[in-house]
Amino acid sequence: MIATTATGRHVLDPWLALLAGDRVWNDDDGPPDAKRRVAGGLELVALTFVVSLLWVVVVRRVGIGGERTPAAMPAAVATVAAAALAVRPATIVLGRRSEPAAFVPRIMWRGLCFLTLAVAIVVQMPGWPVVAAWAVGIVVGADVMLSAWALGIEARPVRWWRHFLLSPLHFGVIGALAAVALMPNYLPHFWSLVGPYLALHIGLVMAVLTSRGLASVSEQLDVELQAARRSAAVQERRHRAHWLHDDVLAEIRLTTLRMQSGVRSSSQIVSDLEELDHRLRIRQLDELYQGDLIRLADILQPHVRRAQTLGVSFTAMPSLDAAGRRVDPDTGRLFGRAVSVLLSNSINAGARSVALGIDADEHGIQLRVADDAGGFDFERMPPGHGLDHLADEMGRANLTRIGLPGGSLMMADIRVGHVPAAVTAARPVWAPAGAAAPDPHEGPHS
Amino acid sequence: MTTSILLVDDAASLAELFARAVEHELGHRVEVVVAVADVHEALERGPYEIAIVDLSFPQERCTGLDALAEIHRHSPDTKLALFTQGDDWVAETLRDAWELLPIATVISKTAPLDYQLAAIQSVVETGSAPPDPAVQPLLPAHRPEWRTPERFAKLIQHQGHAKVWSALIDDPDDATYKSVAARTGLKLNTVKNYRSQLLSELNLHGLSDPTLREMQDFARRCRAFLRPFVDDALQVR
Repeated sequence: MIATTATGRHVLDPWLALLAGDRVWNDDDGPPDAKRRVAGGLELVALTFVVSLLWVVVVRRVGIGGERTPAAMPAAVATVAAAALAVRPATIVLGRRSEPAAFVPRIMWRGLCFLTLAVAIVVQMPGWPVVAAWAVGIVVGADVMLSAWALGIEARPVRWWRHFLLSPLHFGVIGALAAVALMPNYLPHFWSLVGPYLALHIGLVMAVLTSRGLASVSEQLDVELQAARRSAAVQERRHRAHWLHDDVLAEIRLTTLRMQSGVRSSSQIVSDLEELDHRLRIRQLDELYQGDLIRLADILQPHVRRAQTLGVSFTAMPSLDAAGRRVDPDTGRLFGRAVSVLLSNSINAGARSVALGIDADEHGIQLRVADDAGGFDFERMPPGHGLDHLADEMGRANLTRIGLPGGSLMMADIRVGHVPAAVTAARPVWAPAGAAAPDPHEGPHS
Repeated sequence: MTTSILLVDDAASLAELFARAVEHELGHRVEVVVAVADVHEALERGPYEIAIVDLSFPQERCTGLDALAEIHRHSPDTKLALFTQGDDWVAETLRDAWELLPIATVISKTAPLDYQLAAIQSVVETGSAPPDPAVQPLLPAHRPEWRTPERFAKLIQHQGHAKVWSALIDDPDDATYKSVAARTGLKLNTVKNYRSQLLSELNLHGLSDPTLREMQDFARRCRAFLRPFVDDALQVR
């Protein structure tokens, strides 16, 4: 049961949480940041040092070729414990993900490992545990910081050390040492107890110094990160101001000049403003392409809106299940080009009704645009046509036209990662409302 | 026949112009409210046949989802319509609203006025209208049957869960185990256990093995549905 103070605070709770280790509290175990990699690396180096030291002692004690089994037992046990403790820092340093850990089992086996390591050091080096204690202190300090960062606890190692010094446990140890020193019969044992006690304090000092060092590195990294964010924010504001000035205002100015250039009816003015609206949306899309992953739905939106303003009605649209897919900017740009060209193609052909569909899997995206406009000869497409450019860009084999009674269906297959790929697999039959389903035996070009 | 419409949108000038257009073109009566905080007062002046609600209210610590939930609780017969740009910023809120409430239609703020008016008239006449095609790709194909406002009760199985949700909603900073434990008075491991207990239920809300931070985003977004159950659990002491 966890001890509680009069105010109801759980006194042992943070200590047990730190002992459980950082993996318990890192729910997503995402890629580690620099400070966590530093702490993990430090922990690994210190554990390696401790194990190496113990084996050096074994070799020196029994000599080369001597009977090592009894002498090596503590070192072997310590090696196993150290290896178990090294798993987590190693996964952090390597940036690997690990399975979530349960609280109580983690406390038990990690507590057992630390205890085993300490006892093995005392047994293996009875007169000199101090020599290994400082490295164990580094292990503890780094481990505590990893857990503290995961928990959101502010590390205060000096305060924690002071709490330990003033704790009943520490006073109990001092009392026991004093009792041994005062009893003549036990006096020979006194010096054998002083070694571990000094080792404990040297380990604690090193743990405090390591924690403080890592906390200070963390603070420094945070300060640098914030400075970098501020700089990026300033850059972004300047970029936005430039975007607003050079792009948005220039577009508005252009539209104004166009309106001033001649007598324009209100419907022409509305049309100019709608054109302006579309150009700004395409600019907005260009901004999104500068970012990380972009959602297909966001790419579709300006093109769908433009078609709407030109009087096209949509009889089918993809849902979030397909259009929620996020793609890299290059794939997004190619997808956007395909949407733009295929929709423009339908509009130019006089379509009044368009059905839009998307199939997406991990390998690629298929965009389908079916309309009620008349067909054309895809093979005899004149050079310089938008569709011709698109075919060159994505590979002609990835662009398919199927004639429908009273309309046509265009399909663009885009390999994710924008590598053109020939699509040979049959795709599900799909058609706009009112149009008959295409004949699957019909050739790709009409 | 004149229909009474409540329009909730923080873009005051645009809302007023749009309201005038609806009144002039369709002949309905439109009351404009520019803050979610004012919705309760407006509802007292109701009833409204239709409520058209924007999703983004950057000046307030709430979203259109809070307004929609309040309107639906106050007058379940009012038809709810979303009025949104439908961009990435509101995508999650849009999805929650669509799945959790009987949304009659989604009107895009950037659609031509004719489309917007036609959608409103369709809701008046038939009770619903297809969502704007430009917004459709942000909506799931099917509304999951299991995702209902009542289902939020299962996210609060006891007082401990209620304390955790309350802390997540109220914490102005990013939640950590330490901050939640400090706010609730619970042990760190208890907070972790409560999170683990809720994982399967959270999965039904589209959250797969979420971190505390992701749970906090969800709690803030859906507080209109969580809060009543949280308050009930915390009052029964």
